[in-house]
Amino acid sequence: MVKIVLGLWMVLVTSAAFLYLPPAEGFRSPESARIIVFHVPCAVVAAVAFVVSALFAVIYLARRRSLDDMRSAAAVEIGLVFAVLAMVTGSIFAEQQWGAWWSGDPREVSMVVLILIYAAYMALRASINEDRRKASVSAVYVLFALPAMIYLVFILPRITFSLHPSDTISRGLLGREYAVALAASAVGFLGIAAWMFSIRMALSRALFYANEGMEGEQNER
Amino acid sequence: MKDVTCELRSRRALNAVMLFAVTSLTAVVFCVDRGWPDYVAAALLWLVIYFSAVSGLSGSFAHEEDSRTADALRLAALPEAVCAGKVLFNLALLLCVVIVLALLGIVMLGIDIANWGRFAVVLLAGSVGLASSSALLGAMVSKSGVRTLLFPIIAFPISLPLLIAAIKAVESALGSGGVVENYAAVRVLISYSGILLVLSLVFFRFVWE
Repeated sequence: MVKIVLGLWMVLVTSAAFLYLPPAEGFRSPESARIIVFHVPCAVVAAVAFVVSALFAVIYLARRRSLDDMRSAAAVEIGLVFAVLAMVTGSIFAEQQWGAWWSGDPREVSMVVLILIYAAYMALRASINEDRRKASVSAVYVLFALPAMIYLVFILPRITFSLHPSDTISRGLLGREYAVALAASAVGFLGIAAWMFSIRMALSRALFYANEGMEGEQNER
Repeated sequence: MKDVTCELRSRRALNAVMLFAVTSLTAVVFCVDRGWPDYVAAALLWLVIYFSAVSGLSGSFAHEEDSRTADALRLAALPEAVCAGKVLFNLALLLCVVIVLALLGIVMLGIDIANWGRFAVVLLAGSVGLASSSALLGAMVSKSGVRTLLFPIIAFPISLPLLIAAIKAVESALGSGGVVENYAAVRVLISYSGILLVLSLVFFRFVWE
């Protein structure tokens, strides 16, 4: 049921992006600006996923249950997927808009660094064998990375010169249709991320109980 | 208790890091002509500082795991005290390196400092941030088999906001191209360093068990 609603919602958002929305005036290439309906929500979902992983890290450190550690890791994985998507769509848009796939804009750089931070998280997790230590070290790393994420996404692009607009919507350059479509698309993308999260957690849970079951059998012998 | 942590280390680390820093700065001086703009000088200065920090500070906990003193510290001292001691040790080491590098930078790179107070504050704040983040991250990777490889991987992205702000802030303290007013970068740098310091002290307990 939820899946069907989500599917229909995304169909609606996608068709609205291409059929209903007017070309965005004020952009160098107004037709291609429709991509922001997909580009911005990806970045939003990535940031939300990283915050969620930090929340589960706090819960893990407080309760010490390995399911919370798995939730935190799953959120990081999903955040990475959407961060990469945001970067790819952004790069395509930049080629249309600024004339280059990559122009070293502070936001482009900060997105890459964000991906590096959380890719390092995966490397860190893979390098520790002992489960409890892996869980607490990765929880601390996620929390330590959170201020870096906030500085990279919200603060540093504003103290350095950027081509990237951060107030296009609030200045009313795009019009209400775009604001509505962006919000709808963000809701849809968040729904997809939540769905991915539940699938990922079902897998981790199954693996976790399978391992526990095997250990239990070994103990019985 | 803090002294225990500091005393355990010999002068080896200092010698090695100092040589590394001077060598890399010399390499920079040989390869590039003088008279570069301020933003290049600021970036080069911080890159040398950063890589010296990574090479010198990553081993500080690994050394204690190897020589089995870590277990004694776990028994003898509060985790916060161990962490504070480690941060202070890292900071002392880093400040020696930073002072030497800054002097060499002035002499060899010919950088021209317009605002000495800001230059000093920025170097100090950056060192505090690097020292505290490498204390926590060093403890995280100390038990891993691939720690020498892993430490730069996890330290670089986390330190990058600090480096960017520090480079911008140093640039604003240099004066050959007219003083660039950039208080925002200084504020960002100081706040980020403070956050790193506090978080290191708070979270150290969880990786030190």
